[in-house]
Order: sequence, then C-alpha cells, then structure tokens
Amino acid sequence: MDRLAYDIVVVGGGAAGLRAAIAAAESDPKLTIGLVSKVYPMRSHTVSAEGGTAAVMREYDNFELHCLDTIKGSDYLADQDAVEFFVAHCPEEIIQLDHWGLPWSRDDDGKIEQRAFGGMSVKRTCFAADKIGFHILHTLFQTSMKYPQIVRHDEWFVTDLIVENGAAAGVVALDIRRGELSYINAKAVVLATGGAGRVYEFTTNGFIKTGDGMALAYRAGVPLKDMEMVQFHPTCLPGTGILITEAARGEGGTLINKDGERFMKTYLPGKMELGPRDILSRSEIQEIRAGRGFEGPHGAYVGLDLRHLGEKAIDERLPMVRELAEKYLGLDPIHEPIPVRPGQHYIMGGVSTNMHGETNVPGLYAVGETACVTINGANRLGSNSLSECLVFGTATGLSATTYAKKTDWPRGTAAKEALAKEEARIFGGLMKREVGKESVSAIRKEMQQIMDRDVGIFRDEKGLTDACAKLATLRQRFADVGVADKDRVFNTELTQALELDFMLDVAQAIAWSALNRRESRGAHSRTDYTNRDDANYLKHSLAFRADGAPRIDYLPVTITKWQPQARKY
Amino acid sequence: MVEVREAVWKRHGGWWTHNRRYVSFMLREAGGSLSALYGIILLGLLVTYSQGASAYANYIAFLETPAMLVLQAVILFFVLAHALTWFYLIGKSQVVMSAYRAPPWTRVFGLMIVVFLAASVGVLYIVFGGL
Amino acid sequence: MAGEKSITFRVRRYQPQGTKGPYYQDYNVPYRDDEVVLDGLNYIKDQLDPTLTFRWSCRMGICGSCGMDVNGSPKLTCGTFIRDAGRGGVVQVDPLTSFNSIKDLVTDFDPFMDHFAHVKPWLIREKEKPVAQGEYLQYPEDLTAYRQQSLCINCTLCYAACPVFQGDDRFVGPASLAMALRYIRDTRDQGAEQRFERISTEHGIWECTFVGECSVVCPKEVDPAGAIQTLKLMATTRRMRKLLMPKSAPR
Ligand SMILES: Cc1cc2nc3c(=O)[nH]c(=O)nc-3n(C[C@H](O)[C@H](O)[C@H](O)COP(=O)(O)OP(=O)(O)OC[C@H]3O[C@@H](n4cnc5c(N)ncnc54)[C@H](O)[C@@H]3O)c2cc1C
Ligand code: SF4
Ligand code: FES
Repeated sequence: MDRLAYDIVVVGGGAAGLRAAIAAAESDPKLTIGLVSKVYPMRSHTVSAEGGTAAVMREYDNFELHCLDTIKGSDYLADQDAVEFFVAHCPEEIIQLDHWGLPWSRDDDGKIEQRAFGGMSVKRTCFAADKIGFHILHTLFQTSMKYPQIVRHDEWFVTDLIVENGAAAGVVALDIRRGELSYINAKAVVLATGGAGRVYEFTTNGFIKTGDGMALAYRAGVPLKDMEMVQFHPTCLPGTGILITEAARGEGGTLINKDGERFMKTYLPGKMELGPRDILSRSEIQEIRAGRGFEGPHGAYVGLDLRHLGEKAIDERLPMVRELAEKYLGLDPIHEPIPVRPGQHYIMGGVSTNMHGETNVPGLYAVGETACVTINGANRLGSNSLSECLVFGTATGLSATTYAKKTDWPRGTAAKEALAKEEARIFGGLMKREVGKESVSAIRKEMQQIMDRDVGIFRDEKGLTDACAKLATLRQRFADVGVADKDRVFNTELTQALELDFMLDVAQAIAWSALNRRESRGAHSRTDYTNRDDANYLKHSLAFRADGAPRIDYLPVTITKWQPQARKY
Repeated sequence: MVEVREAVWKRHGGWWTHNRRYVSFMLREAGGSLSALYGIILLGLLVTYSQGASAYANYIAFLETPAMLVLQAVILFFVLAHALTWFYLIGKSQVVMSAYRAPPWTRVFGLMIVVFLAASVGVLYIVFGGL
Repeated sequence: MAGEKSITFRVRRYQPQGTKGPYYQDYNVPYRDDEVVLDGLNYIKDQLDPTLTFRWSCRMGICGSCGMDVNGSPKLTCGTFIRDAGRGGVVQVDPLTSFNSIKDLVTDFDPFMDHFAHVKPWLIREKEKPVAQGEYLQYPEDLTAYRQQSLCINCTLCYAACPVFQGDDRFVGPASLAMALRYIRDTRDQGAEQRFERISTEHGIWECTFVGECSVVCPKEVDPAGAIQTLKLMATTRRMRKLLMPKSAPR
C-alpha cells in the first residue's frame, strides 16, 4: 500500500477535472496536485462531444442574450447569478484553449467560427468540425503534461471519500492494475467524475459514465440537486444510442416523419428543428405514437435529413456524422435520411455546489457534469456544458487552491479507518462472496430498463412510484452480488460491481426527486401534472441519502434580472 | 504488494509472413537491393562500351546466356514489385487530403500506374524510336 | 442480443495471478449483422463469463480504448463488425501485439504514454500571449496543414502494426511522431527546434523504414507513415540550411 499526499486531489480527467488541475497548477506552482482517473484521461467521455462550446465572441451577440437563452432554456430553474458568472467567463476560456493549441474551425478572417445551436438565439457555438469534445479533451490533457506538479494516477478507481472532522481529507482508491487499495491524503478534493447516463439503457453516454462522484458525495452527506432533470437528446442512432450532433440541425438538417414532412411545424413552428432538446424529444415521441414514425429493427424512429446540405458542407463541417452513419448504419447521409430517436444524454442535476464549486463539506468540491451549480436548470442548452466544464473548472481549481493554502494537512487517522472499511467492503465482502444467483449484469440491466420505462421522457405518479419500489428491491438484491473473478489484477468485474453500487444510489435519487416534483418543467415532463407550477416548484430539489428512500428537500432558485415567464419559442 | 506479472510479448521470426502487406514490404526492400544490382549490370554496359565494340558485343552475349536472362527476369520481377508496392503505399499513406477526405487509395494507385506506363513508353520511344 | 446466427469467439486469455501462461478459450456468440466485435465481447462478459477482461468506453470509435487484434490485425473492436470479422466461422481476438498483456485483452499502455510525452505534445511559445489580447489568427488553410495529425485518438493500433517498434521498443513510434508534426505545423507553435532535438535521432524518425503499415491500420486517417517521411524531409532541410546558411537557420 502506498501512502500518498497532495495539496489537491482531482478525481476525474475529463474536461472539468483537467481544467481544474491546470488552473490550480498555474495559480501556484508549489502546490502538488494528484489527478486520479479510472481511465487514461483521454478516454474520458468528454471525448465524444461533437457539436461545440458556447461563448459570446462577436459583435452581434452579448452577455444578456446568452444569459436569457440559458435561463429560458432552463425553464427558469437556473440560478441566475451563476448564469451571469458563467456567461461572462466563457469567452476567455475559448481564447485560452486557442492559446493551448485547440484546432478551432476558422472563418476566412482567421477568427474562431461560430455555428447555430438549439435554443441559442444567435450563432454562438464555437466548434472544431464536429469533434469539439475530442479536441478539448486532448488539448487539455496534452497541456496538463507540461506541469510536473500534476501527478497522474491513471486507471485508479476512487471508491470512497475520506472525511476528517467534518472536512474532506482525501480519497480511497483502487489501483486497478495492481488490484490494491490505497488512500491519498489531501487538503482539498475536487470531484469531476462526469455524468451518470449509464443508469439508463438507451443512452449516448459511454460505459464509464456511472455517476461515481455523485454517489461518493451523496454518501458523504452532500445533497444531490435537481436529479429529476435528465436530458434526452432527440437524435440518437437506434440500437446503439450513438449521438448525431445537434450541429447537424444547426447546419440546416431537418427532422422528417415517414411521410417526408417536417413535423416540427406542428409542435414548434417558431424554432422548428432548432428548438430546445426537451421539446424536440417529446415531439418525436408524440409523432411516433401518432403512427407517423418509420419502423426499423430497433423500433420506431424518425428521419434526420441532411441531403439538401450537399457533400461538401457535410464533409467540411460534419465529417463525423457521415463517418458514424456510414460505419454503424451503412448509409450515406448525402443520399438518405439518418434514422434517429431520443435517448438519455445528460444529467442536469448533480452534486449540489455554488459557483465556486464548494459543497456543504469544507474542502470538498465538485465540477462538470457531476456537479449542479446550477446553470442548466431543468434543461441544458446544447454547447453550454463544455463551457460549463471550462468556466467552473477554472473557478473550482482556484477556490480549491485558496482553500488548500490556508488549510493544514489532515492527521490521517480518518484515512486509515476509511481504508480499513473499504478493504472490508471490497476484498472482504464483494470479492469473497460466493457467486450466487445475482449478477452485476442482470441487476444493471433491470435498473436500466426501469429507468428507461418509468423515469424517461414522459413520467407519471404510478410509473415513478413503481420505479422507486423496484429500485429499492434491486438495492437489496445487490447485497447478494459476488465477483466470480478472484484475480485482483485489473478486475473489471469488480469495478463494474462498484459502479453498479454507485449507479443504484444515483438512480434512486433521480426517481425519488422525479416522484416528488409534481409539475412539468423543462425535461421533467409529467403526464399527470402537465403545467409548470411556479407557486410550488420554482425551487431546486435536494436529495439526501438516508436509510431506505432518499430524503427530499428544497432550495430556492436565485433570480436576479429575469422574472419567470411562460416558456414560448 | 501485489506482484503484477505481465505476459511478455515477443515477435517471432516469421512475422513478415503473417500478412500480405508485410510480405510486400519485404519484397519492396529486396526489390530495392536488387535494383542496385541491375544498376551494376547497366554500368557494365557503359564500361564495356568504352572498351570498344568487341568487348561490348561479348558483354551483350554474356547477358543473353540463359542464366543471366533468368537473373534479369528475377530482377525485373522484384523491381516491378518494388514499384507497385510503393505506388500502393503512396495511395495508402502520404495521402493528399483533398477537401476533408482522403482520396480512395485505388485512385492514387491508378494514377501512379498511368504515370509509370507513360514514363516507360517515353523511355521506349527514346531508345527505339526517334529523337 | 438474441440473434439467429452464431459464431465462435476464440479469445486469448491470461490471468496474471494464475499459474497458466496465455491460452485460448472458445465462446459461442449469437450475433446480428449490425453488431460489432465489442458487442460480442460484452455478450461474453455479461452472459457467459464475467471474468473476461478488456477495456472499452465510448463504443463509437473516438475514445481509443478498445484496440485489439482481430484475426491477426489491429482493430478498434467497436468499429469492426462481426459479420466481416468471422474467418471460417471463428473470430479470434488477441491483445494488441507489440505490448505486454496485463490481463486477458488488456495491454500495458505506459510505454506508449512515455513515448508520447517525449515529443512534447503541447503548444510551445517563447512568450505566452495574454488571454485578454484575444485569439491567434489562423486561416482555414493553416488548419488544414496540421488537422489530419491532430485527429489521433491514441489507440496504439499503429504501434501494434509497426515491425520496427516490434523489434525495438525504444523507437518513439508512429502516433507520437505524428503528434510532433501536428504541433510543428501549427502556426501558433514555436517549439519545432526542441522537438527536432528529441525526434531527429536514432530512435526517432530515422529508425522508421517506411513499412507503411501504421497508416493502413490507423482508424482515423492520421497517416503517421506520411507524417514521419515529412519530418525526415523537414529535418534534412533544416540541417542543410544550418550548414549552408547558419545565419538564416530557422528557429
Ligand atoms: C455524445 C455526447 C455529445 C456531447 N456533445 C456536447 C456538445 O457538443 N457540447 C457540449 O457543451 N456538451 C456536449 N456533451 C456534454 C459534455 O460532453 C459532458 O457533459 C462533459 O464532457 C462532461 O465532462 P466532465 O469532465 O464533467 O466528465 P467526463 O469527461 O465524463 O470525465 C469524467 C472523468 O472522471 C473519471 N472518473 C469517473 N469516476 C471515477 C472514479 N470512481 N474514480 C476515478 N475517476 C473517475 C473518469 O475516468 C473521467 O476521467 C456531450 C455529451 C455526450 C455524451
Ligand atoms: S496514429 Fe492512428 S493508429 Fe496510431 S494511435 Fe493515432 S489514431 Fe491510433
Ligand atoms: S470503445 Fe471507444 S474507441 Fe472503441
């Protein structure tokens, strides 16, 4: 076992974690920073983002407008002070990435180009063809290699947070390659572990997006905020759930039903295909339910039509869309519409933090998709999330630095206890347990199906109650899960079991928060309460971990300039 | 501490027979050396030519012996293999990105063949025809 | 994944804490035509044998973690269809060649990371421009100059395919050298000299014999082979200029 200590431990090597680590490294070169990630950082799911990242960069645009779009998109559930802070800091992050070498797509005048995106009223999304996440991730990762004070622990899986005297004091992590647990002492811990899309079956998210950081914080007594707010993206490939970027519509792609009609004219004539995602996803489902979808081997779908854009535009601006369609569907979008249907995409909710990434546990920070600041409220606008990772990554890295500098090293007693506890839970429990009738894959699949069916795009009291009860049973059944692979080295069966354990917590938080919000707002659409109810629910849900069901509480929304109005496009 | 024993990867001797592109790499390398040999044969022509008509005629006669003909055929084969595998590589690697997509390698390969044939015809014309 | 067709997956297994060396194990896997080799491996892990160990995440060919040898060629398993991979009714899956295997299909990735870091894969400036002064201007043609090499997903298929690296693991290798070219060609970068010092060496570009296989297997058209030949040319002209015109030598 190693004894390790860093001033700051960052858990997660995606856009948010890397940005936080670099901000900390740049602000004080004497600080030591441990970067712990369960995969090599460039495998983080940030890599899959396609469309772009938002910032006010041109004369035709302004901060007020970006704020308004974001707040309206959020169905007024965003905290407006956070949105103002966010919008004001986006442009500098874009420029910083340019200075670090990101291959932005450019205008003929040499400046960073911008494209249209759903819910944004002007062209505001900076992009790098359709591989923005890939380029942000690799640029940040490669830049992070410059700083010797950032020490990486690649393929280390954090299993628990260490809390000493009520403050964060480090993490317990499994070195996957050696199959050993260690503790890492730290003055400040930043959670940047990304989303939790894999609690659903049909999702655009990668296999590693299992909500670990949310569950870690939740177990340490931090509430999860607005967990019922789950985004479904309107254009995913049936079968795999692979995403076709919104940029396809930003560049002029249209949605058609089996009669070749642009059906959005019935649902959202003002914005058509460039409406916000929640509305588009619901419209597609309604269209399919009305019998106007196409039928395919993986169920009904609608068509995303790019044919009129022409080969040149597609190759220059959407090469990955063509690559994915050719590869996975064997069709060329130049000649045929792409089959699409809505799938889980993003979790607006997450670890409850303020604008500085602080949680209610001193020294514990969260940032990125795993956190909920909140700027996304009930519905995130496409391309705001990478910007969020960057802006709040920097802010959080800096506040963790300030905190670490004025804090003493933890004594380390809590670390030893936490390690012993984890040893017992993992190597004494999970690994020792005989393999019985319960398997990780079966429970995971059941959980995902429950979430897809009852906590999906449309929800109601009966389905949600049912889901809550079933998830509770799964939680009990999980206690009987054993790991067949007894070889400690690189034990992915073990890490999948640990991930499922985290996901079950997250799924319960989502289902209970959804059950308790008896209104429809943004992505949370209840067929039994179809209207937004500002009198009772203009507030954030907070889920606290408790025995059995989570305890749900509420927190007021911060309103600065923009009074809630009906959300009309 | 847990000892992590890795399965050490070793390349075995016949590696280049495992895939036809490795074979063609070996052919190309061999073709490279053999074309040097052909250069020596050509040099022989120049040397004997400078020594006078009979030396030159003897050398030509020597080149026409069956053994030498076989050798030259073998060399020709390798030189052709060298050229063709190169053309293939140029199509596959060194791609010229036209717009945002690489042109299909067959097109580059075809182009190289056309250039090759045109050049050969040009040489034949100079040797046997006019100027 | 209940399909009508099925096929044998012959997978190379290796348990580091076991007593056996590597061995092959066969699994019978049902499949549909739209399923990839990775789907087959996941079917095995979820339904037949949870001990099977491999890396994957994005299942869309962009994270670079699922590289393996499929019937003897390095492939992204999430981009290789079972229907195309089967040879005589068998899909043989091995860990990527060139690297040691830690367990089953998981290879040791650290040697690659070391070579990659060696070429200084980040933008080098003599003086940083303050963010307040805005972006660097770069025109679409400037972008085209390095865009292709910037698309590398670090999947290491090219290392697995490279006989030079197979023979000598000190060779810096295709993807890392291509990354050097990516930064050298970037108009914002001023680190060419530092990088050439690191790569214009015995185990750098000059060890490459242009087999070309790296560019054939690369799933992202990065063309590392072409990049290395370009670097050789650039290194040579820089050298010549230094010799002939010491005053005007490029940075
Ligand atoms: C297909 C797709 C397309 C998208 N397109 C866009 C877009 O165009 N524009 C936009 O703004 N947003 C987009 N998004 C959303 C955006 O990409 C993500 O929200 C964002 O990348 C999240 O970044 P992150 O740093 O928070 O997390 P991630 O990139 O997911 O990183 C999480 C990190 O945490 C580590 N980690 C997790 N658990 C543990 C643990 N237990 N121990 C140790 N390490 C751990 C992982 O290894 C990883 O390094 C898209 C998302 C998807 C899925
Ligand atoms: S150059 Fe190509 S094959 Fe090599 S690591 Fe990069 S993407 Fe993979
Ligand atoms: S799983 Fe990401 S590249 Fe294959």
